[in-house]
Amino acid sequence: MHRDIFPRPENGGKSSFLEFCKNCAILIPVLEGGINGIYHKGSLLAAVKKGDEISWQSFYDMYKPLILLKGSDLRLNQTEKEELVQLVMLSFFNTSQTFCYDKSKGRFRDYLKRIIHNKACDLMRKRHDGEISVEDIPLTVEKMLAEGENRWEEEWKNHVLKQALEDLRSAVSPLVYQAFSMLSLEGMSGKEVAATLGITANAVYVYKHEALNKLKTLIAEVDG
Amino acid sequence: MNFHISIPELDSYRNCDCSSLKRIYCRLHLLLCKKCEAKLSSLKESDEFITSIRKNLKNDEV
Ligand SMILES: [Zn+2]
Repeated sequence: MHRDIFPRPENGGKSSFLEFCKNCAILIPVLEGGINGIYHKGSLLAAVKKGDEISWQSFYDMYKPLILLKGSDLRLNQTEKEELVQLVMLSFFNTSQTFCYDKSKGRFRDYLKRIIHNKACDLMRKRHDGEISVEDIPLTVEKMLAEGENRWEEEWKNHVLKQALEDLRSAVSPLVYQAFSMLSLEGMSGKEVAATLGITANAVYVYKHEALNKLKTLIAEVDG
Repeated sequence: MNFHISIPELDSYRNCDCSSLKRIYCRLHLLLCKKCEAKLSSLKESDEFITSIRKNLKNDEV
């Protein structure tokens, strides 16, 4: 079992796709989250929070649906929604193919929301059709986004949960993850899981609660 | 009471995933111990959490 992975020393301690396992000191591939040549352990949101380098493509895949959701709240047409995605992307990646989140900007979810709000205002100013006066645009945008706040919160919660589940795989041993997954996610009985994994039913429940507690911590961490 | 039943043990008890001897022991203990009775009730929160995870994963498949 490979845990507590060390970065390669010859890589100057920087994250790489081949890293040393602390237990057996052999090189193993670390591929989770690695897209477009940028590799980071765990979920993208955890990497954003740590201030790791994030690739354009992984960011786009992850946040496009959330930005589109905001576009729907603003009643933008499909072309405008796509433009909103591009404008938000450009503000994160204006000079580079990658970005590192500056933690002094506060919670990433609030920062992302602020960027979307600003870019939506730009978009509505550009489109200005006389329906709303230019001065009223920021307030109108804020009001429309507030109406969809519950949906955004729900989507964000799902996003965080998905990211935390991804992180859970590397945060607990494979056996603990498997027992949790089979019992809680796949709905197998404790006896079935025990027989499949060759462990006692008691151990299945111990592992389930170990994973659940870790998952709760990870959720607090990635969303904190 | 000096000895209590752990959360995983209570979880396996309520899902009938423990031995009959353990079941009897848990039943008797729960009759006498308010602390473990409360722990057993708190497992409902875990159930709700798991249900929300499963719902989330199911929505992704659709
Ligand atoms: Zn007790």
